Amino acid sequence: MTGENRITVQGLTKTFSLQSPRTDLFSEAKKFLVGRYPLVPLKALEDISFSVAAGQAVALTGHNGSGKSTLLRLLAGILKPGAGAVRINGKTAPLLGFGAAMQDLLSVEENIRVFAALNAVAAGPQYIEHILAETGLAGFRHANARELSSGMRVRIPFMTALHSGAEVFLIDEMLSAGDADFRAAAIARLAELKKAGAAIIFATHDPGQAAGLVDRLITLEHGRISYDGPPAAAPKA
Amino acid sequence: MTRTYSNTLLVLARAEWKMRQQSTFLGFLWTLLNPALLFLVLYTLFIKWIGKLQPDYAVFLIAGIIEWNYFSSATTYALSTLLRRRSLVANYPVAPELPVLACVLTSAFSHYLELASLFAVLTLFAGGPHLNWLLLVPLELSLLALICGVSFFVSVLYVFFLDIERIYAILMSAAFFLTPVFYPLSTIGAGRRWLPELNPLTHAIEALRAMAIPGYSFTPGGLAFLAAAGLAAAAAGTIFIRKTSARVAERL
Repeated sequence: MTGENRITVQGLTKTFSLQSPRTDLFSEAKKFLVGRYPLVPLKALEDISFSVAAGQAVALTGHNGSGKSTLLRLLAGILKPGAGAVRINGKTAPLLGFGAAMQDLLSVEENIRVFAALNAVAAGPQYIEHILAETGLAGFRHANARELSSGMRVRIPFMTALHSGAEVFLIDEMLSAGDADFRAAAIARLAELKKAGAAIIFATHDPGQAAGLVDRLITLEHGRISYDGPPAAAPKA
Repeated sequence: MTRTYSNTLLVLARAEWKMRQQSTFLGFLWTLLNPALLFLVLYTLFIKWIGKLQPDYAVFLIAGIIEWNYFSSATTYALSTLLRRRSLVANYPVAPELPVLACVLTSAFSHYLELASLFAVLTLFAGGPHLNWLLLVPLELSLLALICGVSFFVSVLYVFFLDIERIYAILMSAAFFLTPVFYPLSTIGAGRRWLPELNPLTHAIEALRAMAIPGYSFTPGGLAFLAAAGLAAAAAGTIFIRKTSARVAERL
């Protein structure tokens, strides 16, 4: 299913005020109240426009600090743009940061419940069993999350999001996590979702890791789009 | 409140409760030990003095401590919530008040267990239940709203000013003495009584005492004041935390 746009971004600009080290209460209060920061504002993104159609997978590349994570957070609605607009058509599943929001003191099952709730899914017994099977963590069901390796930890938010019924997936670097088997399973699941009409945009330093999945490459440089097109035609970094 | 919102809130609150209890050996017992120790100290110190002025001083004191401890511990714990849950706030588009609400709900749950213990003891040894125990519903809802409002403010401010933790601790120490937790309002001169009466917590404590101590004088206007303060705090706090959510996410 292709055609309708799942993600539409127009003239997106985001400027951060670089923070000086915390000083004292009065300086901090002044900054908070009047919004004046002593350092030069950092333009993280400038005049970004693109759209992603249903059934399209986009790899977002660029050097560290080029604005990839900021763009994904703006698309997820976590940050607000300084200018421009984001329109998302469909339920969104953000996967931003390795094991973000994973609670070390909770069991694997309880963490699945938390991530299901964050993805607006009512986690019944069948759903829990399904995610345990998909993540390969059935044997760790009652183990505390802190006992898992980093590769195992990332499977829980990843698979919970991929089985959330979302139509828009925003993924930040997480495809580079986990072992080869897990990555293959995750990419296979993403390919299924894409075929069903989902839009996928993922930030990566290595678009080749999901070569069969990616239709399009967007490269950011200093907060601007420097390339937007098929991966094969992209200039070599 | 949508179903998704309430489901997320309940799941986060349950997770918060489990983490809170599992991170210490004594778990839930800690929440009972703190007010129990405070009661023991204050009762030993003041029974001979204030006990003469106030009949049923033990119940009087317990009611004061339970309500005070709820407000104090809930808001103090909520203060650091956004920083403690930064990975959640910075990576998921959750309503910014949700982690704070979840945190407050765990404190509320502990508080309700304390209240249940109090009323169970009252039923066994002092007769009951009484019709005025129904006042517990508007009282606790108003207090919960007040705690949520204050928690929203302090949790956001703490993201920007770490000093808030120290300032809040000092303010709470002062507020403890400005709230009639261990003394009756009548011990304060009429000219200065307006000070504790402006404190919504005073009315929460007095309302609970009216339910727990037969014949305890209580004006319904106090409960109305608490309800108005609770609603105002919750509304202002919600607007504040939502207006600042993007700046909080940036800062985190």
